[in-house]
Amino acid sequence: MKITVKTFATVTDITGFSSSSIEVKGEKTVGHVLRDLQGEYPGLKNISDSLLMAVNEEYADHHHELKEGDVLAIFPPVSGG
Amino acid sequence: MIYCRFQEAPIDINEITQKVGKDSDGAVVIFTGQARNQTGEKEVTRLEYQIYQEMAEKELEKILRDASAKWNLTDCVVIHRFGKVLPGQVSIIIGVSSPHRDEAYSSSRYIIDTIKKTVPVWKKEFYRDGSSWITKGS
Repeated sequence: MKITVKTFATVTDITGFSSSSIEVKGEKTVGHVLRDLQGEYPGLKNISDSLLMAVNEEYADHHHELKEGDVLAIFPPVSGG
Repeated sequence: MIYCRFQEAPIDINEITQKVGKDSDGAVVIFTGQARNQTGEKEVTRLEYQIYQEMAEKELEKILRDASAKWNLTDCVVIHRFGKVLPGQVSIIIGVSSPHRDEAYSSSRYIIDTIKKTVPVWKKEFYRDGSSWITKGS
């Protein structure tokens, strides 16, 4: 199953990509994808407690089940205004 | 009326004063947030706002709909910058109007506080000797 992962701010600095298509194997939850990414980009582990996730532009938690074609965004706490 | 947008160009404060407030309103509250020229001991030379545009627009609209319903606002308008913002420039403007001031003041505070918690926008501060992402509401 393929999904698109988007990153912002410090997460882009750590992963080196702002948007990437990835193949999800096994468990299809947000938490699982995040754990895989942390394996690939260890720098994410340092900020894992503060990371926020959104699926198709809506905030989502670790248990959210992903579907083919979903857009998963991963980012640090927001700082607008 | 609910209206919001993100823009790269500087904000014209007059646009808000024209958009917000009807003759039935006794109160118009306008809040502007601007870029500081200093963080702690460091001089800030500019800010760069990054935005997840599609989601930011949805989240901002949600906040305005909630505020408008909760305080029964007449008008509720937000313009937020993205890209480069210089110290002293307005980074966000919020305009609300209602028949009485309590609702206008309370809703304005709610809107800015909630934007800083949920709208996916990030600011990066640039100094003479480097830069850093600001990842906590400030």
